[in-house]
Amino acid sequence: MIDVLVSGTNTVLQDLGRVGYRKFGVPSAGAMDAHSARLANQLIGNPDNTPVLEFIGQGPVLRFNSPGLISIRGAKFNVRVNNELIDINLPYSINEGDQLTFGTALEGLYGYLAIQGGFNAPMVLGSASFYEGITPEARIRKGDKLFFNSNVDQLNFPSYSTKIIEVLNYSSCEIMVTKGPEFEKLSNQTQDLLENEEFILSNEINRMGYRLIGNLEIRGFEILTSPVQPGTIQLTPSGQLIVLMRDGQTTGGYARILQLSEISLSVLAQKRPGEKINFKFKNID
Amino acid sequence: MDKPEIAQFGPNGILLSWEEKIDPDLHDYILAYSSAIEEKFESLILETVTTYHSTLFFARSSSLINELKEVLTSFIYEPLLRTHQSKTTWTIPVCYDERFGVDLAYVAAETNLTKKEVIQLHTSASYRIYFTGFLPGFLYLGGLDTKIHVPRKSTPRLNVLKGSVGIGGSQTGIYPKNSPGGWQIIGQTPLPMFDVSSKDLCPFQAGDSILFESIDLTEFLEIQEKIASGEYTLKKSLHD
Repeated sequence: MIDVLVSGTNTVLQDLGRVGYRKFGVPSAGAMDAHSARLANQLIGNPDNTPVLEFIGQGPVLRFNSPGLISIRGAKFNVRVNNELIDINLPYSINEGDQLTFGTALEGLYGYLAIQGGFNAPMVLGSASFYEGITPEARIRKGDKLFFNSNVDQLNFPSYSTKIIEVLNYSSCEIMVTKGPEFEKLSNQTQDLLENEEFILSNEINRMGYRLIGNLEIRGFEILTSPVQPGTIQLTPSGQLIVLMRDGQTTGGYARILQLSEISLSVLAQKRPGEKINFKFKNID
Repeated sequence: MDKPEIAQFGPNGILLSWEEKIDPDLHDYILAYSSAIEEKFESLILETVTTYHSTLFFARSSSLINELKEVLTSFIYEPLLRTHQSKTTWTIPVCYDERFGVDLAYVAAETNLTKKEVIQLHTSASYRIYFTGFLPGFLYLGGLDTKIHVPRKSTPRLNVLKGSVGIGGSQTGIYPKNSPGGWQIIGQTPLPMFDVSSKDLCPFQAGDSILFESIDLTEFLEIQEKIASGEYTLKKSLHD
């Protein structure tokens, strides 16, 4: 069991999300940087969909009341155990009574902590991913206790932790996109600007959506409310670009101009306000 | 009906779009096709989202996307003998008391009607459920009388209460949970619109109809109590 001494910012439990309930208006949710969440689990031999702890910018302070094998991925933190910096490139075996701190993210935004056996969290509609109104809790608070399944064979480094894992280039400003359903209805000028201009991530970012600041000449339009999904970029009549993230709504009424690739959704999640991006178009096969 | 436009949308999605319009017949047709497709290609399809004029099918994995696109393209979109045509009408009790309907007076003033007339118009129409979207359990309804179309608030409220019934432009609907919102609030229902602990989550299906029934504050509280003790039964009727 783990005591949460400091909660960190918007700390939640996430797996890879909820499937099959979008027709009821239930968003997928799931780890914002799904790629890092998967890696964190793979490093310690958990199935990819095992719940992990997600935190943003400011990490939690945790006291372990039982030993466990952990791995940490995502944003870069100076991770300390009992005030000693630890190497997070490998899984770390934590002892009873150890205190784990993250401090403030140095690069990226979303940090992930996985524990061998996985955190215990109530499964609601097939997923442990926190989402207000669906799961009993919307976030982890100071004083909470986190339980994990410590009933694993032995707390050893699994042999597969040494396997070569694909590393994403999070510093790349290229975001891979395909054309969305309304792309061809945009003016030629707006289409050109989307392909060639830089965009800047605004301060308005959360699990639902990331707003981008771009060329003031681009213009979208309203549509009859239609299906959208994580990674859909909506363009409003006033030129606001909104990238729908994991908690994004299931339907929307603005032009769906672009669609991020699954990998680019993880890369974008780690960008900070003020960072520049540009869209790299790829064709659908 | 014409064959829909078929295009990949997202790594796992195939989007079918028909003519962009809100039309009960087109919607019945799309519902019937979508459920026929879902049944026939169950092994390929993970989930679907249907709205007014389109359906998004998600493949079970991105490796199945080309196969899904192929089967949807070669599917024969001919007129159906048996369309969807739901026969269920749900009655949703709404208390239009001004402690809930905080914008009722505004709506009345804006439409040159009395508050009573606004309530009367709101409760006399039958509304078609087109789909659920925006939030869990938020129903997109068609059929609001044009006499009570009122623009949204210029600045949305930060917190609209769960169960609030509002008007936003040509639409009316119920907020399934506390959330920010820009609609003009004219009343509140004691019914939960989405219940994660209930087996069917949300009994109101696309294609069904709903009626709003005006109740007073005493009835509102009685229904609330019945719901809490599990004694409340939703009112529904079947028509031919």
